[in-house]
Amino acid sequence: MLPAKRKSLLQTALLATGFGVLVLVCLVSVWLVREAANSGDLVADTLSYTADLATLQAEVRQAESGQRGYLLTGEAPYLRDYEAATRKVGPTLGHLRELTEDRPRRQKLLADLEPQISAKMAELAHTIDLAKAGQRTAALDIVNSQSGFEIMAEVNARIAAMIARAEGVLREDTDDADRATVMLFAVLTIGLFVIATLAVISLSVLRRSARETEQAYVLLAQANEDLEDRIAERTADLQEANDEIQRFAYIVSHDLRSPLVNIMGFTSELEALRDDLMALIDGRQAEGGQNQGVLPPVNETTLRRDYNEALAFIKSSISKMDRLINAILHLSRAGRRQFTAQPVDLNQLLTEIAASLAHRLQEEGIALNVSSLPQVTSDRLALEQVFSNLLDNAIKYMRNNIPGRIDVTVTDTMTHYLISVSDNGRGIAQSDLERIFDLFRRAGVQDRPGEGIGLAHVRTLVRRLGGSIKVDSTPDQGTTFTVALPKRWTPAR
Amino acid sequence: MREQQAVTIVMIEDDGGHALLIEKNIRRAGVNNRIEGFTSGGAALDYLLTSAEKPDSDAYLILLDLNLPDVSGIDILRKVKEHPVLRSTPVVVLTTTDDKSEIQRCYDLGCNVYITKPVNYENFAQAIKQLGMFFMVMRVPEVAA
Repeated sequence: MLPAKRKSLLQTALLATGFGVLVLVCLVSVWLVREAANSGDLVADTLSYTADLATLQAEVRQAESGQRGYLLTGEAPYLRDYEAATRKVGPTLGHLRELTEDRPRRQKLLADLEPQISAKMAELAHTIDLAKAGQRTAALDIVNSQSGFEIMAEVNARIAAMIARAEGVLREDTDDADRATVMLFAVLTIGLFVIATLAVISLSVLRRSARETEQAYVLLAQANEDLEDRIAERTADLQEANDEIQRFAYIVSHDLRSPLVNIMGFTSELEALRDDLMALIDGRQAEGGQNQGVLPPVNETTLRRDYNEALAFIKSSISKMDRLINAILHLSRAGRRQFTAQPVDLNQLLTEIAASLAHRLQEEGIALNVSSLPQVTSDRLALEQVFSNLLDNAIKYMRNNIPGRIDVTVTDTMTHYLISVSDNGRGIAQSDLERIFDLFRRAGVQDRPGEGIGLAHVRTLVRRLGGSIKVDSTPDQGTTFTVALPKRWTPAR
Repeated sequence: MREQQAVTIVMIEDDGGHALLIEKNIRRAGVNNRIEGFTSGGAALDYLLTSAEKPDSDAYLILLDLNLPDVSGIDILRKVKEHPVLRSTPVVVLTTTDDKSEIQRCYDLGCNVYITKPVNYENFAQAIKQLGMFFMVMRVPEVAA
């Protein structure tokens, strides 16, 4: 595949060559046609020339035979023939002179011929005159002498030579014309062939170029599609993350506002109580004196109770806000801690967690079964937190009346391990399955301690490890949390 | 609730402090009806549903906070308004959020009144007192069980 620039240069070269050849062919054709025309002209001239020469000869002979006839018979018709022929000789010679104007050789030959013709005509005229004057014998004597005959022979010979020469030239000229025609034909054919070849080459180059362009387009379209797919994926991810942030902000702003209402409310209550308190103190001080009954007696018991109540609520609200803020910080910190990827033996990890929970498991009578788990490349601390929380929840939300059972199993897909923590606890309602992952949210009967932070934290951790978590549950039967972890995870993304 | 109808106010509010503040201020407005407080949506629903079965149940007025930890307040609203007997119970949504779409949703589901709890306690107390006065003049349908 030639680079684009070389290709376009080639195409331009081809086109230029084709055009050049075309122009060349045209020029050559024009030249050859002119040559042919020229030759044609020459041929015409020569033919005219030879014809005139023949005519001249005939006219002289005709004059001669008229003369002979008249000399022999003295009849007028012969005289008339002679006169007619003689009259024609002049013009014919004149025409010949015209024809030979630009042919020097011929001109010379004609110039050499003319005196002979003149001499012959003079001889004839002389004899005629003699015969007209009644001296036929003298005339015949001249005829009998060879002079007239010799001149005529000379004239014939010259004319024959001139005609023969002209015919030779004629053959040459005809040959030239033929050659020119043949060359024209050849040039045209070759030219056509060359142009056709160039056209074919050009066409094939264009075709190949077009095919390459088409291929490029297909690749581009494919790449675009791939890009669009990936963009859609990323956008979906971003959208999900964004939604989570929105939910987070909503929850945080509410759950932090709530205690604030309490603090403000009970502070105001305290203010109201202060007035009552002051009245009470004033009343006590005045007890000994005369100032009784000025103010209505304040119910001391109610006052005590309300005051303590208000303070208690203020304090509990403050500590609640503190706890909430801590939980948020904890979550945010977990989101920011630098994770490292190391090989983690999940069997070992789960065994350690089980050991730390052993006391509670025994107390509640819960059986924990961990099947053979693989090794993954991931952050160890994060995994520990995830599975500790899941097991803790499983223990926390057991049913009261039946022996508890927790199973940890694994499924292998091409790229991920799916680790399931199943329990036979109280289960979660369908409508709560998404809720439980929200911060500060819990589900079901609220008889266990907890802030509702655990699963939100777990989800954040799992996500950062390049995995995902989902939950399946049947109320009153059990719950299964499935964590999908990539087999080999690296922190840089 | 004129002439002190036998209307029980069911207050579904998980925050004990809020519950107390609301109660205090309602009382200050002169409302003497019985107030049943619930800190979880589940418990409140149980109470309402079992009461609805009883032939001689009280008329109720529900004060509902949407921000419950265990169930969504919206769910409770929906369940109440879909119940054949409880649907006629007036529901006053009293919650911290003032999100327009949330308000719209509550009204769409059939809540009767939506009140945003002010953070500022004075406004809060004022709002509750006015709510109380409103309670004084409103009529609550008899429960036709």
